[in-house]
Order: sequence, then structure tokens, then C-alpha cells
Amino acid sequence: MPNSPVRKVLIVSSHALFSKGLQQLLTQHTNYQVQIVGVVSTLEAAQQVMATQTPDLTIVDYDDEQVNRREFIEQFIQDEQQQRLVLLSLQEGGDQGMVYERRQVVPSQIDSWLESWFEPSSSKFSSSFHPKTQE
Amino acid sequence: MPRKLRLVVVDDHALFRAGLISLLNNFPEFEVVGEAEDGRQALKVIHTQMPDLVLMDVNMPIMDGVKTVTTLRQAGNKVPILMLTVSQRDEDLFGAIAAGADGYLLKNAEPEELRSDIFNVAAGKGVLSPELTKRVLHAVVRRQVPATSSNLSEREIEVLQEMARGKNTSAIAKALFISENTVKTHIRRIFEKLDVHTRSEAISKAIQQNLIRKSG
Repeated sequence: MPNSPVRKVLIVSSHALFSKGLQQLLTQHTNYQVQIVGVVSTLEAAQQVMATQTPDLTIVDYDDEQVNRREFIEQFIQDEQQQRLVLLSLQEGGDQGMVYERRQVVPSQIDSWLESWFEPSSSKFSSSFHPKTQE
Repeated sequence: MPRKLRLVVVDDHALFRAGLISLLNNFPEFEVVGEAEDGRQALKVIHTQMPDLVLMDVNMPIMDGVKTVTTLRQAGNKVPILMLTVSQRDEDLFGAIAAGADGYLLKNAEPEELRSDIFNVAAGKGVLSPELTKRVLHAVVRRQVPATSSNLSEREIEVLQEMARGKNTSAIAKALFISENTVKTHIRRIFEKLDVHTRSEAISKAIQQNLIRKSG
């Protein structure tokens, strides 16, 4: 763990029991180092932290009142620095969530990224997408 | 040292459940002895572990929290149950209370508040999120007033209140999302129950009996 990079995480939720519980889970994790750069409950506060602290990962519990899902995504795709985003909602079912990864790449990386997508053997989901190969 | 309170946590959000258990483990007075992600699992865990208290989400797949509380109570299980939810919907709140839940707390509560409410529920007291208290009080008043005076239904009181605001049948129908014919039926029954013949008489009598507020 000492050599692992420190991951900066922002938590966005208006539910204190969720945000504080998640904060504790992440900081107690033994496999990686986490720095919580913010625990906020509104979209505006989240945008401020994202602009100043540039978190590697933002976990959003949207409720569409204090934290609006659509507004958050619109803001997310406008920026450019590398970041991962997890969107979930305590108000919706526990089995629903979305993840996004934003990163800049050079054209050659786009090619390799597409190749890895088109090449079934490179994907761990290949068996799911090609059921005939299993027959 | 007194015995720890043995808790079961029921919530379909795995991340929330894990975080909550982590928070509860901060308190030396508590021991989480089981967890479940839906009501059906919860019934098994509660039957096996026989906890001192259950923290229960409302909206869950397979079997929701209200149905789970109902099932437990019908089976004679008296374990204290504190609902822990994001739902502020009336049907969830009143459904849980009617089913036999001992408390209803929102997930925006602070950990210390939860700790205190767990102790209160375990001691046989009822707890309610401050945001919801007013709604419950209003509901109690609205149910009691007609019963003690004119037996008007909640909907008839709502129609009366709209009448007192000066609205005609069409406007009342729009305000309450019902048809004009339904409004007319409500008004006819209001007249019968209040023993009046005109709208102004009905409004006047309703205000006298504190069934509605004077429209400002």
C-alpha cells in the first residue's frame, strides 16, 4: 500500500449516513490509499470541489432535488481532465447505477481502444457477446 | 459493561449497507449480527439471529419494508424496528407506522442522531425524523376533527378548503385532479353532512367548526 498512488475521491450526497459511511469505508480500505477531497451535498458545492481539487473519482448519490442527475452529467462531459464518475441513487433501486470514465487520448490510443473493443478475444465479456462460440 | 445491542441491517443498496455497518461499528454499544438486502432475506436473518433491533429500508425488491414489518408483526414478532429510508412519501411513512414500525428516520440523519434514536427505539420509545413530525401531526388532526364533528372525509375537507378560496367547481376539479362531476358529488355530500343548502353556508359552518382555515 505505501507505494500505491493516492486516489482523490469526492463524495456527493445529501444523505449523511451514506456519505459518512462511504467515507469511512474508503479511508479504511487496506489495498489502496484514498484522500477524500470533499463530502458535499449540492451540485454547486460539487462543481467547486471538482474544479479546485480535481478528484480522480466522484461518487454521486443523486436525488434530483439537491443533486440533479442530468445537470451533473452535462457538467461532467464539458470538462476534460481524467476522471471517473459513479452515479447512483438511494431513492431508486439498489441494483441500479451508472459509471463514466473521462480521459483524453491521442489518435493512436483511439485506434487501440477501438481495436480492443472490436477484438472479441481481448474482452473479458467476449463469451457473453458471442454465444455461438461456446456451442 | 452492559451487553451490546445486537442489530440487523436491511437495505438493498450494498454500498449504503456496508457504510452504515461501518459507522455502527464505531459505536461500542452496538454489534451488527446480520444483514439482508430484501425483506424475504430479512425474515430469515431476524428469525435466526433474534436481534435486539432492526434497521429497515422501505423500498426494496422482492419484499419491501412495510410488507416485511407487517409479516413480522402478524407472526407475533415484537422486535423493535426503526425504518431508515430516503422516502418521505405519505404511503411509506403511514404504511410503516400502521404496519407496526417503531420509528421512521430519514437517511439524511447524522450518525449521532441515529445512535440516539436506536437507543430510544430499543427502550420502547417511538422516533420520527423532525422533517416528518409536522406531517404526522396534521394527519392526526385531519382524521380526528371530522370524526368528532361532522364526519366529513379528508377529500370533502379539501373540497371545502378550495371552496373557501373562492374557486368554482371547475377550478376545484383542476386543483384536486378530479372530475367536475366528482366535485359536485363531494359538494352534495358536504351539504348533507353539514345540513346546509348553499356554498357560503357550508364555508361559514366549516370555519365555525374549525374544519378548514379561513382563506387569507
